[in-house]
Amino acid sequence: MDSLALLCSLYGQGPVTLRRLRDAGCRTCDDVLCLEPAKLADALRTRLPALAERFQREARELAARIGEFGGPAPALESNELAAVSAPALESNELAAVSAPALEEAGAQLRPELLDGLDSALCLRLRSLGIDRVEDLACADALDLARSLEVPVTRVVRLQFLARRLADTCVETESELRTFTLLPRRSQLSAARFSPAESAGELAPLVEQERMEVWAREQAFEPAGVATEGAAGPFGAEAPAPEASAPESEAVDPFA
Amino acid sequence: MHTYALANHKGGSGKTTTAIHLAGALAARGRRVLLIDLDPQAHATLGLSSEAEDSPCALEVLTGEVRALDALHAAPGGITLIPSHGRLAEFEERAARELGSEGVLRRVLAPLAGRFDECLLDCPPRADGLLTANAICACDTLLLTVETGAFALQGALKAQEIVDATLAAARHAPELRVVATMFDRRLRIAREVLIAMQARFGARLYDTAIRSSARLREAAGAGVPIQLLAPRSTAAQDFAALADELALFPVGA
Repeated sequence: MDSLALLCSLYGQGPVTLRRLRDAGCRTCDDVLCLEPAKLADALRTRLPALAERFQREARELAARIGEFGGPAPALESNELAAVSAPALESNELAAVSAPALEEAGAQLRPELLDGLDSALCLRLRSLGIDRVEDLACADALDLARSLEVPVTRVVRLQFLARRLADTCVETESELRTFTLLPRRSQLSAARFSPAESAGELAPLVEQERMEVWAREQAFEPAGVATEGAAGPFGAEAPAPEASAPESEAVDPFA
Repeated sequence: MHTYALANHKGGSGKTTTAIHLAGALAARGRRVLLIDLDPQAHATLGLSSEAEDSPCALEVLTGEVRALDALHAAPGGITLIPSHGRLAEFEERAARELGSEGVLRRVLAPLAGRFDECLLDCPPRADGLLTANAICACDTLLLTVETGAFALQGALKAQEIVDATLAAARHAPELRVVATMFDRRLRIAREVLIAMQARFGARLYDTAIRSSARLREAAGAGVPIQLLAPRSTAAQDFAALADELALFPVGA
């Protein structure tokens, strides 16, 4: 598996994205970085250059991590793992995203443009530099939820509606949900990986991952289904979603 | 005929699922595909709506009671199957007392060479058994299926050790390739394991990672390859891409 295939598996639609990029002449992550965002957006069959730029950021991080530039990346000691973090996606970066030609994507956020977007939330979004539908669609859901102090599921739903309005290349609601629920950028860049130590290092992640998935599933359950103190799928000791998820995630906006 | 053995020391790594749907993808490309179920649990047989209760199975073929030609079953999706049955477990017991028993499958498959383009061997979930040893000695490419989950790399490395030992004893050198299965990019553990696999196996790892899909479970329940159940699903796309890779990079390439 080459780096481009790895990139497409991690952040794209697997073989479909890989074929499109290879048709566009890309062979490595480096080739993806060298493409103009507009050309990359064409290759990815997306109408949003911001998504292409995001893909390029993922490519840059992955290339650095697997050592595509200048040989293999050195393995990190475990105490270094926490110190490694990718550049955070600042809100001013969102504002700097080039505006697409699309009228919908470039539309200013206004109350009632999206179901659930009221005037108060609109003002708070603008104060964070998120003025357009496209900005909202590309923002990090978790960071945004923290900044706005609203449930992450509400942000996820707004982003879904924003992307649908902008008519991205993503075709189905499930894909959108999958896309939106990707972990934050800072989480994605946990550390460079040492193959020899990989299995051992992965072990602590297992339980955390299971709990995250379980908590996420609970967050999408209709209100009232998940009861406080109910046994989780991994035994009676599993905490209720209110205990494991941030407080802001306890309220279900889909209900 | 090019023979692929799908093996891993770890159970639940996607061997049978990969065998069924990869066979379906190859058959959909017009290839003549033979799938041999070497697992006494007979999941590949069940996954193709077949059974071998009253008909010859892989055991009779391996013991020489029946010719391989007489044990062929037509399965859905244009696949030809030599089914398995619980009684196949007897083979390990019987053959363990004989010398050179790991070369039996290679000998019984020889007459089928001109009848099929590809042969897939679905191995049982232990790499150190006689059935897997037969598959390893009979194959041209050993396909290690590695689930992108916890302990997967340890299982794969253990399997590779056993395979290397078997190959050294048998003086046979098939190409070793690795395919990542059950990949769910939403899970951090899956992404980390895939990155680790790419670092560990490099070019031996196929570009296509088989994504986890509810459609694959439905296909197993329906007893058909994914190409028949949901030809436009992501799972069908993945297996189609994997089949393309097999065609693009044959042994020695």
